[in-house]
Amino acid sequence: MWVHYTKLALKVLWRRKVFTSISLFGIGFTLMGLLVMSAMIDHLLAPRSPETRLARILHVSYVSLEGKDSRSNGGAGYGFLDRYVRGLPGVERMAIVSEPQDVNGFVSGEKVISKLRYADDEFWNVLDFDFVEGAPYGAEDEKGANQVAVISETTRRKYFGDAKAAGRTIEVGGASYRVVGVVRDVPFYRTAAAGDIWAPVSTNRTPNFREQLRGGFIGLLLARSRSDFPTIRAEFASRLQRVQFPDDNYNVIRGVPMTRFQELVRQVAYSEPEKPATARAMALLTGAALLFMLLPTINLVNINVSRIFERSSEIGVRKAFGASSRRLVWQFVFENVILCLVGAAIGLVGAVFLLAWINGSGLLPHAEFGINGRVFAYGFVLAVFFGCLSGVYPAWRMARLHPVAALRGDTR
Amino acid sequence: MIAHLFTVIWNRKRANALVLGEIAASFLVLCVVCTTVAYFVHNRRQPLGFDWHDVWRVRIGFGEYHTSSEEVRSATWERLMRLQQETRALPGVETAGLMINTPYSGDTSSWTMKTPRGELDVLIGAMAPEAADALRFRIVAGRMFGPGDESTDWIPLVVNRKLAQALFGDADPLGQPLPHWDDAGRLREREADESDFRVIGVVADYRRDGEVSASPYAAFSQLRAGPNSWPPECILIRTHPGTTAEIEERLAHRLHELAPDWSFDVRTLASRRQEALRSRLMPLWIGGTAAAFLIVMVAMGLMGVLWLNVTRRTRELGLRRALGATAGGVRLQVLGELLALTTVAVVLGAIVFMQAPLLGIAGWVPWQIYGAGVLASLLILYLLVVLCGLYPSWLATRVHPAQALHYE
Repeated sequence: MWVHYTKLALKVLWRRKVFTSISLFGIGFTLMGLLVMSAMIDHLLAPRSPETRLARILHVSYVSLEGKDSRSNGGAGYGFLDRYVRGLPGVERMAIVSEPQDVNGFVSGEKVISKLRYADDEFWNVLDFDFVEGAPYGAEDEKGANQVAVISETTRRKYFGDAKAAGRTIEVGGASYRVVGVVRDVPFYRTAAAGDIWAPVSTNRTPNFREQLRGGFIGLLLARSRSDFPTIRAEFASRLQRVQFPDDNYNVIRGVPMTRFQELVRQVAYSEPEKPATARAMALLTGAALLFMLLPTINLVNINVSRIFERSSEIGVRKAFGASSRRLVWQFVFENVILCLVGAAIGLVGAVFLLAWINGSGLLPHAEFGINGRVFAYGFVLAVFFGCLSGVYPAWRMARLHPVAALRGDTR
Repeated sequence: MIAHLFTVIWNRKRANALVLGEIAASFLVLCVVCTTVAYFVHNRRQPLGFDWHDVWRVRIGFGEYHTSSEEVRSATWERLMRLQQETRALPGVETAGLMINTPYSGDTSSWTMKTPRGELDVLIGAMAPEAADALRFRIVAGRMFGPGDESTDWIPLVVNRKLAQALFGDADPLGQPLPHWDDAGRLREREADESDFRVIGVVADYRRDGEVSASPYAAFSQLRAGPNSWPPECILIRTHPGTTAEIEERLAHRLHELAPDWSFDVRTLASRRQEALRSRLMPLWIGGTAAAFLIVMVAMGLMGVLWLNVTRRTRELGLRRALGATAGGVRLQVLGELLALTTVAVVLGAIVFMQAPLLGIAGWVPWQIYGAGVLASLLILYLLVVLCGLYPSWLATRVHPAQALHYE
């Protein structure tokens, strides 16, 4: 039966090529937009190199210090992470890394702007970088404040051209580092990892950063499994109570270890650390997608409704021979879904090209957006949803035609 | 004639409702895009208030300040002042000064001021007078603070014209202390822990976020070094015209020499301006492209629907021709119906869109901009609709009366 319907649908679509192509243009464009959107979101949240263990990582990236009449929000301080966050139960490994800062270097008089991050040796164990040259620095480099650094491929190209970099010296931000390793470029949206140059935390020359409760650092907690998250959060909360404050300007510290999704929502929505509005973010995202689909849906419904006329004799005959309205509705919705799947295929090709263009344009540093199996599945679901959404009303209108009127071609 | 058109539309209301909804939704999309473009164009034509040519910005990373001890804070200030001094002495440098809220910075040193006419978001930050020179601020009344002002027990303040107008109306702002209002909108005394700011000058404008952004309310207070002040993170440096990027390396070198434990990021304001423009215009490009695709899609859909409608109404149109209507008359009928339908849709869409200024969504956009946006949308929409209607209406004139009446 369905095979028959499919054949019929394709026949009908083939008959009026102009209208089919108008419909396909709309469907293809809409699904391309939605696919690009979902591919981007998927890449923001999915575990990918170097954050291959992202699903098990909690980020301590935002704390809030509060006093009687002052408040200081932002990155966690090294002192806070070092003294109070280490050794939480359920945490397999913990890394401390600074937020990236722009530093200038000069290559034969030409300025090179790089993002420098101070990262401890555990950083290389918690995350999973692809080394194209050399190896990460280790615990003794961190302990001895050795001036060593890992750089990205782009940084290597800027400083050394195509030559090998390991063992050579790089001068940046007024300090010089010996390059020990080169890693593949990291897309900017891998927020815990992204950077151009990574150096041991101990080479940070900012005075007394080791005492700070707040300022510029992120703690990465690699849990044994996701089921340990509640335990980790609970113990973290109780540790907050034990924090010693240097003076009486501040007497409360707040913060929560967050997953990447919670962290993203917090950054976008500026919500409080304790209650990232994840549910609202999902609702907003769905709302935006539906709003984007609204106009294409009306458009498609419009074309479909207008085309009832063409099919009226077919409908009349089928009704006269006893097909139920329900059956006709199903048939037409199915036809529309077929149309949408063809449109989705077009949209998919468009999305692949658009994403490749975005990646190549350099607008978003080192972006690696692409279509994977999951995004493909989203596209399929979206196409079916879109097909049903835009197919139900016309189908209902078609099925309701009176057989006599339909046979006469009167569709009013 | 026109009333008749509406009757015809009403008679086919169910089929027309969908087309109506589609046109109304497209009109809304057009309105949003056109209003944004109008807003940007309007902003672009306002004076910027500063000159970014030959200006470099050094962002200084001095580590955590606010939660540090008083000694650390004092030491930070001392070194900042020293850096400022030393930068000025570099060859090629015309002038240099510390500043908060530098152009294109995205710093958010602002204040929410309660006034009788609602809350104002005011950019406020300390600056050295040299930074004002570097930016070539244009003083329209009073003067910029200078070396003689350091010893007053009140803090000299320079405001932009927009803020002066909002705070003092048409009265002379010079010499006035910054007014304070309570929640009920009555003037109140300054409280002990509030700084005593007094206006000594007015600058023409300061559109910090650049060409396509609106003019903010802005105030600049005189830089007062000390552990209880908020330290600027940037030095603005004006170089002599013709100074090349070579100065960057020398500058960076010198700064690292003076403060080896701090980090510095040297950029030209020109490059910051490029970035700021790009980040402002990118959403418009994306939104505009998506909107263009949507509109093209709707236009094609509309043409298809009209085409099918004309075919479906062969009998009716043929009858009209048989009764003596000219081809032009039939064509006019098809187009007229479409335009009447569009008008209804536009009125509906406009009612929805006008909720934005009425409810104060994006309240910073003046209503004239909304007007311009709606007008431009009307123009585009009618043009598109007529274009979509041309072929189907021509098709309608091709109906031969005899053939049409013979239809079944």
